[in-house]
Amino acid sequence: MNHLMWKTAGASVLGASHKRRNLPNQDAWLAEPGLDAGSSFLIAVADGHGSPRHHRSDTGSLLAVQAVKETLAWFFDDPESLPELAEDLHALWLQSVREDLQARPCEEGVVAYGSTLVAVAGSGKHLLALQLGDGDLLLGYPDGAIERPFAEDDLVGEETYSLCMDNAARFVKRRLYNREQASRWPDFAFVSTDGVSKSFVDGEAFASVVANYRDLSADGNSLKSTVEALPGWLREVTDNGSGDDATLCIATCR
Amino acid sequence: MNDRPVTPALDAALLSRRQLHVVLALDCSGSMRGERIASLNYAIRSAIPELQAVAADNPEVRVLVRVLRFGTVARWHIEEPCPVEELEWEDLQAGGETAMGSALRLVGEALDPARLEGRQLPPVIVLASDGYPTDDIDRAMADFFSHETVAKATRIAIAIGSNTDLETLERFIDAPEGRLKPLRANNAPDLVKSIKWATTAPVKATSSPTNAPDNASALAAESTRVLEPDSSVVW
Repeated sequence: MNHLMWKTAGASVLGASHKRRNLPNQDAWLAEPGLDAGSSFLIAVADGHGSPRHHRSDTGSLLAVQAVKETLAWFFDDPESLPELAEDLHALWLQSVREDLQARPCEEGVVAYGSTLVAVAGSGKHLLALQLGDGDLLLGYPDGAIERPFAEDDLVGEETYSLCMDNAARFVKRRLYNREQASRWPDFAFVSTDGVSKSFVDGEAFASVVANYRDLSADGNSLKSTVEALPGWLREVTDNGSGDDATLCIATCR
Repeated sequence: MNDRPVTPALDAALLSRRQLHVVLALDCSGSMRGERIASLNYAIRSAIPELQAVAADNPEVRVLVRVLRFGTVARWHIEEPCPVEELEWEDLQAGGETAMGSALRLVGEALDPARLEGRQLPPVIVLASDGYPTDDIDRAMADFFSHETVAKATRIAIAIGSNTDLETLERFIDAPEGRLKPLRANNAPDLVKSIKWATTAPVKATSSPTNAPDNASALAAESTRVLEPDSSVVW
């Protein structure tokens, strides 16, 4: 089994509608190891809800990507702990939120920090896809296929599952891939907040752009230029589309 | 110098503002004659500027309005989705029976994903009625909910007067306990308030760039808070 080396990139921009309302960017992201290739990686995005009740969701989304990083730090040493992963992640996020609340109490409590979370992490042998609430997670394969590991949540309107729900762990979708048992293996991962996909005319147009990112990342040397160009690209997307904060991360081992 | 693109090209055709379809299905049966239909027309006329203001506050979303009237038959009053900023109101007239089933069928067909182009937000459907359906509502309701877009829509019902088929309106809303109930409009001021709220609040909630686990509950709580009955006068 050859040794895969992953590089990651990410960026986030404030949406026009948040700018008009003087709201901060309520998305957060994390992409490791960055441009220095590593045998394991983590990309994660979180989308704070943004409504007045969720007025600390910029902090909530930041704590979400930090919680997933911490929860997954040792996960691949014991992938059999998958059934407990969601509970552990949620408990850690809640603990961080409560610490923040202790320092600066607010009436809404945990609800004020509501956020989604989408992440992909990989080690030499495993790859984990994880999602709570809306957002997009796609994996790319050497044959050019782009696939979504999870079906869309069946919710009404713009509702989403959230870390601020008491039973959030129940709604965390997760899928663990084992390289030794897989007939094919992803060489590309993409996660984004819904401000990105909702700017495209339809799902097909969005998927074609994701496929294009996979093609462009074939040349590992150009990833640095991609990182530099990402904020401008995201701004164009949200300015001409959803107007929402827009955040994406990619991981490539090509 | 390397001129290779480093991010995907953004062809203008790839990007799109999202569309929010708002459909009003309004009871124009004989029992609506007189003060009720006059109040309904007045309510919609006065709600339009507020709806336009809400839409202007969220320019990333294109709000499109259609209106259906139902009496003995159901037919479109505004058939082509009208951009909200161009919306003008022509008064409805009342008369005939209550073909609510036919109305729901037409709404469902109009919102079928195959007939909607581009990226859609879940639509808003407002049903206002003062009576009992006179056609086959059971089969119509099943057809209505068979459309995926309808099932995901924000559905608001307004019960006009005290002799309304609340059970049917609750089936139309199909909300879990604690969520939206039919709004009660027992007199002219209540109807004006209900129509204004039903046409603006869900549009505001849907078109704002917020996602949350409790949008519908928040909307339900707002409706209870904002729509306190105005007086003891009952139609």
